[in-house]
Amino acid sequence: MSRMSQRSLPPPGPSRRGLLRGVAGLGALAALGSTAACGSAASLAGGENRIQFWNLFSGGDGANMRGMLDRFRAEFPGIQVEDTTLAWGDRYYTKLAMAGAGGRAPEVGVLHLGRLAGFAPGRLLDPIDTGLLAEQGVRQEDFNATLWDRATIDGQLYGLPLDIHPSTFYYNRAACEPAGLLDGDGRLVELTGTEAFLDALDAVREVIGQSPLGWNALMPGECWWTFVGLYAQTGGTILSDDGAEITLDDDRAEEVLAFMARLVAEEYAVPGQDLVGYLVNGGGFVLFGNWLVVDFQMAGLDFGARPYPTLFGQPATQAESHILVLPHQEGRGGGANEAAHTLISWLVKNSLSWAEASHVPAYLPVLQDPEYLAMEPQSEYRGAMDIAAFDPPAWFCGTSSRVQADVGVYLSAAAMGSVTPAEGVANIRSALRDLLDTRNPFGEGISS
Amino acid sequence: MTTIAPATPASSATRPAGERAAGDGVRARLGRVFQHGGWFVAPFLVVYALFLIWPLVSGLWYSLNETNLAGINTEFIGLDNYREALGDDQMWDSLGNTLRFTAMITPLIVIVAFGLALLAHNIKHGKWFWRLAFFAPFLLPSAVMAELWRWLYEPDFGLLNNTLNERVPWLLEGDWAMFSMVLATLWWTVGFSFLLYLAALQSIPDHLYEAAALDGAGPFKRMWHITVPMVRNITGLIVVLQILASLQVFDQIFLINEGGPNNETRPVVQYIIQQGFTGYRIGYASAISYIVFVLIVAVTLLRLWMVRNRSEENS
Repeated sequence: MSRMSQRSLPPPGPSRRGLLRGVAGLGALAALGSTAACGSAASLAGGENRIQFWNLFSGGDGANMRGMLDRFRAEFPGIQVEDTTLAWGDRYYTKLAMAGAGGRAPEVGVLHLGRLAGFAPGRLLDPIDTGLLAEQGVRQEDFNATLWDRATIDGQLYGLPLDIHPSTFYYNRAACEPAGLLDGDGRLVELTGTEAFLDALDAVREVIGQSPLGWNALMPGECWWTFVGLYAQTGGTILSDDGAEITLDDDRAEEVLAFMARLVAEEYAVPGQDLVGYLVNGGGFVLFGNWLVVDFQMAGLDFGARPYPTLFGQPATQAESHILVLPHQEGRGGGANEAAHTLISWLVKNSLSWAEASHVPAYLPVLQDPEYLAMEPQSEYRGAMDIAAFDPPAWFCGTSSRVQADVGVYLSAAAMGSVTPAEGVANIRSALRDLLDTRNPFGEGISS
Repeated sequence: MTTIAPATPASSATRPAGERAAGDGVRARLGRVFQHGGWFVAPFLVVYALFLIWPLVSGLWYSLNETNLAGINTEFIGLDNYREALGDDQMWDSLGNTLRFTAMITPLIVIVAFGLALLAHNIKHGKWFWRLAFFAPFLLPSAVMAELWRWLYEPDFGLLNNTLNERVPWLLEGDWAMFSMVLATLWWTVGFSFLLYLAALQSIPDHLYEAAALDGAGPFKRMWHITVPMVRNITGLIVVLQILASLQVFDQIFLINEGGPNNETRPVVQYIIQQGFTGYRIGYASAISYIVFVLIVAVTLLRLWMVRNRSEENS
């Protein structure tokens, strides 16, 4: 380009007309943005019979939930449901808490039961009107008593249980059959006590020629689940019922930790394995939450899944639960609130299809439904409902909570053999102490 | 700003000419700024203020309060958060991990990037291929890179252990895990420094080498006395950029191993996130971030000071 042509370019400042056009464009953009924002704000404020539903089902269960909502919409054309799926874990709770704090939350949300105590019921959550539930035919006696009690705080119900999702013990039939561990129905025989359990693992090791158990001692969260389940089998509790005191029995905890460490030390389980990859490629057993059922089914594996075997005295298996909650709204009530109760009642009553995504339905009539009983392997671990061991009732507990990170890491260290079981117990004690000494950031709920 | 000139219309005539010129100068300069690019910079400045300056200030305020995520029960507590953080073993542990990571990766990046750049610069055939191959990993998002390395490090059927035919505890033991993180990060990010070095190598004039060769300098001497000093500035830049990036390391470590085992690779950023978003304690998390912030600013100032010293030396 010559010097001349450069000089003949218009001055670099924008022309008045161009500027106006630009401003108009920006304005239009802003207007678009604000209408979108207003749209959601208006519906958050609760147009009659228009309800927002926030959930965290981003996996296979998400598609399932959307299918259920479509059926709901078809059945209740008068109720408009807008569902939003947010990323699972911390981020979901972050958003729900902030929305509840501002009193502009969605009508309905999902929470993990273990998180309820820390979610300031009465302040970030509104109580559920059991009268409205009863109108929809959903009653307290339709739920497991322990589950219902955990969702009840100071006599008010804050969460309607949709399911429980227990820790399960998966077994690969191809590996267990030659080891003589299957009964006539192709189900795993009862393994009681740690010795019988390890004998069975040894037998399977013989058959498959590799480590017999998929269990990831490297992951703090997974160690926490395993510990909660096995420790509950000893009959002990970790915290007192009001979540204020440590009630951990050191000897029992040490026994459980020693067992977890033995699984790693004697190479029953290799930490860091991808569990699906392991079992699908000829592994023996896997200890993990029930939602891997979907992955194993998709891989076409012939497998079974049952609650944890009883290794330490009394049957127990760790479990979490999805509960449907009413996040705090200023002036909750009216048609939208009734519609919200209609929706949550409908969801639990129709949780048969929810069970397909592997969770155990909390609504007992569904749990006894012949169609559910016919589902394999879902119905095989339905007994988890009666032996579920939930997280201790404290603000720092529940799915992806501080306890999983802070206590879990010490459990993992003990399982990995970095510290002795006795040191591990001392560590988890001090981690629990630190957590108890930290003030609940959300404060107590109004009612508790 | 436009009010400067009209504010003193009556007296302007009696004023010395210089002062009037100054007032006009400001206006003229501002006018020029807005004619030449001021409007173009404005959107950036707005975004900069909104997403950088404002969070910086509000973060400082949070750190002086017992702030939680939901914004309820907030209480002014002065420096208590800082006091707690300075006495918090976990904060020091995680900060130590971050520093360890930084100390390991920075020299490695410099050496490997320089080596790769020399290779790519001097190789005769398929230059474009080597450039692409060394730089390509840098383009991967951290999630993809983490998934890739998680599988490579898989204890039983991972590619590495399978090839070595040995069960190396890549992610299972603290020291190994930190090394594995460094290795994965090196592979992932070395391309950027490699590119900087390559550019620096290409800008070294050939006649220097020719003259040195005439004087009888061998390849090693030429490299040590010409190449290395000529890329010294770039080396300084890479070291500082690398330190600054490594002090903020988080995603790949979190995605591969969640900072495990036994928190031995947990970087301080992960601890901040755990406190702020898992534990809801935004105030405390802000206080820790400010401690890290001070560290990062200190590194930057040190770099500025060194550059100034060197340029004074040269001149």
